[in-house]
Parts: sequence; structure tokens; C-alpha cells
Amino acid sequence: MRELAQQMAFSRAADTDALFTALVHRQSRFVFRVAWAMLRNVQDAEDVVQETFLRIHRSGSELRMDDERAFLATTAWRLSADRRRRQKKDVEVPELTDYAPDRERAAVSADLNARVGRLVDALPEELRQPLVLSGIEEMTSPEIARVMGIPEGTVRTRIMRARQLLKERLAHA
Amino acid sequence: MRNEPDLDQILDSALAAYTNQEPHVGMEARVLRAARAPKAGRWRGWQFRRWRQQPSRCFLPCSRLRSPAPR
Repeated sequence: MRELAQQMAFSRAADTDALFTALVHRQSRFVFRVAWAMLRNVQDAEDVVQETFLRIHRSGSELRMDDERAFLATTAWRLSADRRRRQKKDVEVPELTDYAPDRERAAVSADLNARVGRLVDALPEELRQPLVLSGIEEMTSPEIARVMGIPEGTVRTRIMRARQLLKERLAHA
Repeated sequence: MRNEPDLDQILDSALAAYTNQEPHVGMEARVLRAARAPKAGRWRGWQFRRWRQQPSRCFLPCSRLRSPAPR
């Protein structure tokens, strides 16, 4: 009887491990992209991916997740936001108002993507975050709203405002 | 505002490039290794009992037993 209970415990542990391994293989790139969009640093983003999966593994949430993409994205987003807040105390990110067209023009390289990237980095956080999350593979407005904990309409408005600002900046550059 | 559709296209492709970053090859393995490693920190009861059963040894190279294990 005791052996049977032990065997069942072992097989349950093996099942959980297999589930977790499959989850990591399936979603680690997606989680990395969420963290990367927030942090813009490969090492930091990989640390957040590890922390996200470790939290899920230690709490046993891999067995209870309804929508794994939303759950993982929310966890990764919160951890990244915490990390970014800590980093921001050391390095101040330039605000959009600091970007004069002349300075921007002077810094323009041939690469248009790099230029847009700099403009995106200079957006206020409340506009930048929904915009970059919307750029990640198939993340919809409802998903972003769930991740950020704000209404869906607000997400759409912020994305629209961010795009409008970027277009204005690009048109002037 | 000039060439609105062009700016939209430029923005879309630039945003795709902005979020398109690949992790290092070993990231998944690192995550799995970390998840399977025993949690550092507090000792489990059996670890503490096993540690208490060990006789303490002299710190000199002779490694003689110093005293019987505490009860």
C-alpha cells in the first residue's frame, strides 16, 4: 500500500515536471519578448524569464492556469516593471519633451528602425508599454488590458496616442 | 503630416523590429536547471536531523572525533 502511494507520488511529480518542461519550451520566447519590450536588455529579460517560470513552478500554478499566455505575460510584465522601477532610480530615461527635432536629426543614422526605436524609448512609460506589447506576436488589446490591469479602451487610446506622437516626430525629423 | 500611409507602414515594421529580439540559446536549459535545483535557504527537518547525528570533528588535519554527537 505504501509502495503504491510512493509510486503514485513519483508519477505525479514526473507528470508535473513534464508539464513544466513543455510549458517552458512552448512559452519561453513569448515571455522573453514581453520582458525584452519592457527592459530592452537581454540579460535582464532572461533573468525575468527565469524568475517568472520559477515562481510558477514553486507555486504549482502550471496545473491551474486557465489562460497561460495571459498569466505568464502578467507575471513577466509585473516583474519587469519592478526591475525597471529599481533601475530608473539609477538611470533616468529621457522624456519625449527632451527630444528636439534638431538633436534628433543630428543623431539620425541611416537605419530608420533604430531611429524609431529611439523615439519609442523616449515615449512616456504609460504610452510606451501598451505600444510595445501590441508589437509582440499576436497580443491583442484585451490581453494587454489584462496584463496591465487597465481598461481595454484605455489601452486602445494609449496605443493610438503613442502612434500619433511617433508619426508627428517622424514627420518632423 | 506628409505621406500618412507610409508613416504607418514605417511604424509597423519598426515596431516589429523593436520587439523582435531572440534570447540566448541556453535560456530554456537555464530555466529548467534552476527549477530543478533544490531551493536554497531554510533547512528541511530531515537535513537538520541528519546533521545532528553526525559527530563533530576536530578542525585539525587529524580529523579525530572531538565529542559524541549531541542528544
